Amino acid sequence: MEISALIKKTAAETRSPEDTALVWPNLVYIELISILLATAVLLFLSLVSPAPLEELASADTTPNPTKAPWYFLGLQELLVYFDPWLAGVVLPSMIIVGLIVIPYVDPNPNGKGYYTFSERKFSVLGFTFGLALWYILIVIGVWFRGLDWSWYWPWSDSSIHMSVTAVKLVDLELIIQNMFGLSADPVMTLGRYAPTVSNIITVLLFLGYYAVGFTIPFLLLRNFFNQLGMIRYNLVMFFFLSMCGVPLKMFLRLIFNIKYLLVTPWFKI
Amino acid sequence: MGFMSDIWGYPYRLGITLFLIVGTALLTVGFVGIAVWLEKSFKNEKIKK
Amino acid sequence: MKEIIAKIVKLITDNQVYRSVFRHGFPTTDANRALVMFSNVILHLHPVRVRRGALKIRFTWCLGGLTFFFFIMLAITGVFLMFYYVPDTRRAYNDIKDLGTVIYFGSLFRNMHRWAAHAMVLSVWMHMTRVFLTGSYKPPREFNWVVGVLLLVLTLVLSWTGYLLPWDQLALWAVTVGSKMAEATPLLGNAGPFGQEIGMTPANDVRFVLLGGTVVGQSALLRFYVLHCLGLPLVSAVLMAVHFWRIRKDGFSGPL
Repeated sequence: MEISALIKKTAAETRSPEDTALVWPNLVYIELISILLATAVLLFLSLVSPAPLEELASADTTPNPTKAPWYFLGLQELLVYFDPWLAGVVLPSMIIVGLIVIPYVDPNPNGKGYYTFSERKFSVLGFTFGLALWYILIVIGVWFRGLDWSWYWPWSDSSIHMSVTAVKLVDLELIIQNMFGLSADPVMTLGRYAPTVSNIITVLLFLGYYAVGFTIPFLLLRNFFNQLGMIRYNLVMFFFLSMCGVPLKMFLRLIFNIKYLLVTPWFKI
Repeated sequence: MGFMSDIWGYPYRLGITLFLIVGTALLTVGFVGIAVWLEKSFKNEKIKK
Repeated sequence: MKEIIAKIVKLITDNQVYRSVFRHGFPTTDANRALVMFSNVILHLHPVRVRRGALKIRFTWCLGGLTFFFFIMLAITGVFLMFYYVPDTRRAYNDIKDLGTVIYFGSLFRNMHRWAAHAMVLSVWMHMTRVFLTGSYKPPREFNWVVGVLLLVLTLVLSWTGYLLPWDQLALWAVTVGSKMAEATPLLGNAGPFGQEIGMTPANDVRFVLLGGTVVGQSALLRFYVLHCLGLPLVSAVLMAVHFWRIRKDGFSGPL
């Protein structure tokens, strides 16, 4: 934008004095009061709930369970369902990058500077769903995980270990292999990668999740696609489908005992 | 379907699943509810003026 | 009585020293209320006038300002704690113990530091939610949202590096869990996908860089201490300056 146009635009956005108020005293006093209240709350909390200090750090005794700080417990809870490279590195990175691209993939001119759900339903729903997922995982990590990172309901006795005869987890490719009686021999060899037929099916299923997810809105909600354009649409759909993929994988594991959806020599999902 | 057996057994897989679904749904509804409430409360204010 | 007060006020304000500090009268007139914003460097973070809509507590919930306030609070209590803390694995734990037992107000400052840290993490999250719900990241404020996301990451890393410093079991194992994840970084970690293919070992991967060793030990404590007290706050301060300056230039995205 040219400087002159920018100045014009700024001037147009400048409101008349009736629409604005002096910062002193109007805003400064709100800030002062909120700061005083916050200080009071912090002092109160500091007095009633002191900072914990456990035994001296020792590499010889591992506490059970070992918990990360509460704000990371959502990610630690994901470790139950995903390998560390996903739960600890790739998914958090995707959250950060996903948050960064939000302003660039939301071309909706409505809802700038005021609360509205009705004018931007998809973005608000998408964001709050992600937020809900983040918080529920933290709640689980803080209050529902105990010894051995087992699940403890509030009424369970948290001092006894849960039975170790937990369910047996199976990879998706083995389920497919047994279900359709497919051969366990590799069909080809690509370096360390020697996939069986069922392994190739899992790769196709994994890619198919994204392919179908990208295609359905394109076919049925063409308006949505047109509003976003090619690049924005692909970014939005990639992050949205990945976000939905997290609880989906968790359910597959919880209900069907599936450990990995996709197994390669380098990584497992 | 061997891989679906013992769905109620430890570690309470169905219970955890329901907890996840209901919890996420409730929180989402809560957040959207806050957005709707704030939208309405600011709209009413504009009409008053 | 009124006369006496007026006389005292005149005595204090009507001299070269006072006028060299405060260059205008009390902010009781509109002119002085504007001048106070111009002439005070801290208040200068604000404009002179602000849209009425932005004044609604229900609009901002004061969350951005509170986050900044918690940061200031952490800096103040943190400096106090630094007087009594040495990042040495043989000393650190006892230094924290001393804060609670022999140092005047030691436990108060430590508790305040801890609660302000928790509060800051939470208020950053809520501030971000508020900014999303009011669509305040929309043009021309896109880049400030990006700066905000970086500040969110910095807040979390700051909190996490501080978690190690007491050098108790809680600290050691929380950081051990976290650094296990670093080890699993694709390409850059020895246990991550393609890590070993490109020659990553426990002694040269990203976890080694983070901890300054293969275990959470003295080098890790020193690294976390320096990052926590110096490196990350400096980066945060720079980003905060950008964040606030942008708000100052673009104004609140308030209604009306």
